[in-house]
Amino acid sequence: MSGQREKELYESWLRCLREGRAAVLARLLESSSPDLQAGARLFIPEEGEPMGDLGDPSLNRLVIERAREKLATLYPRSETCPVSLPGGEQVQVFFDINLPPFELMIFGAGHDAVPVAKFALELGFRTTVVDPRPAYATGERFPGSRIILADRHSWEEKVTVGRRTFVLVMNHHLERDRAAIRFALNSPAPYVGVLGPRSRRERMLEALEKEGVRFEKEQLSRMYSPVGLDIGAETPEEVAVSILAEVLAFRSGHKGGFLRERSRDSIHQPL
Amino acid sequence: MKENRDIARAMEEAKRAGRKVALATVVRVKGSAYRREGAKLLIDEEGNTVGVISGGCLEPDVAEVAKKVMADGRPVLKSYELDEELVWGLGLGCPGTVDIWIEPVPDTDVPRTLREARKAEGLEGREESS
Repeated sequence: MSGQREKELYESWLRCLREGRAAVLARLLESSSPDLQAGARLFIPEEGEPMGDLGDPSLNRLVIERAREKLATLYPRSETCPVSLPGGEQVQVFFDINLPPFELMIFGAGHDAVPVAKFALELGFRTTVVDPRPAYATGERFPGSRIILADRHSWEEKVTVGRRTFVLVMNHHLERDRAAIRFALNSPAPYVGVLGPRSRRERMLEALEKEGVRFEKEQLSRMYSPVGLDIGAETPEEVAVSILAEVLAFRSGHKGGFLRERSRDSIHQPL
Repeated sequence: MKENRDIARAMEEAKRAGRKVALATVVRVKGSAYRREGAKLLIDEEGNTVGVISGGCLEPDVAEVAKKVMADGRPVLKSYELDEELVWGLGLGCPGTVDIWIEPVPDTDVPRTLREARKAEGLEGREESS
């Protein structure tokens, strides 16, 4: 590839890194064919056209397809994959994946939401707090978080939930929680954590059913309630750790629990 | 995620300052290792680094390789066997194999916003003359 096009490819990739947009940079590491040069690059942004060339059109196609499959999953990890070409050549391609930061959207700006937002920011999440009460949902209480002052009637218009948004429902208010569950389970949010005991969750779902709202099995499977990992959390800070530990485990496809109770396989493998 | 942004910023800064850089990326890990695939280290001509690719044991050697990569412009795949007894004797405690891809960064034209360009030229805050 020419120097100019190499530059353009690298610049586009850098822009995605800097702006936190989803993209894959594939690099050819090793090949059994002398025609395929190690170091060749192919850039596949989530939005937009691929750039670059790994040295063979069918290899490019296979890699673009694989990159798109990875970007379609919740939490793709960077890895080196063997790729077989129709002509029998074997190559090793490194898929370097850049993802936008995940968003944690908290419905409820009460005192227990404060450490959740704070710790989540430190973990690298973008955080959003949604609450209709201007006395609670403030920048002073939630530094670094985006604040959306809105009641349930204006969520559709003011609140955007994407497929990389994890939702937490913690209004301490039955009616608002019910509305938030309904809103979140009808959104693309992959995870909807709801604070409170199982009995409260059942009561809310029954009330929603009386209003004529029924959820599919798939929707209910995205609901995590009681929210959090079982660590005996008591204070708001401890509860925040319990919730965020669950969110991280969910994101990575891990189960939570004690690492020492896992078998001898790698601690980095999802279960 | 934030790490990649920091690396991107550091690359742009280096380019702006006219320094050559190489990028080292963890591409394969077998066994235990401190960092996983995708972790990055940026190295400039003087051996200054940004980023983390191990618990601190690989960076000096990778920086040396990176100088060669910058000089001849060809990428290198370097494999590290982290057998603490044999190689390091430092009690690293993470025996495993880590493959690191070290590539030259093409001489990119740094994308700048107008604001950044002004800042760089000391014009920040002045009105744009038309």
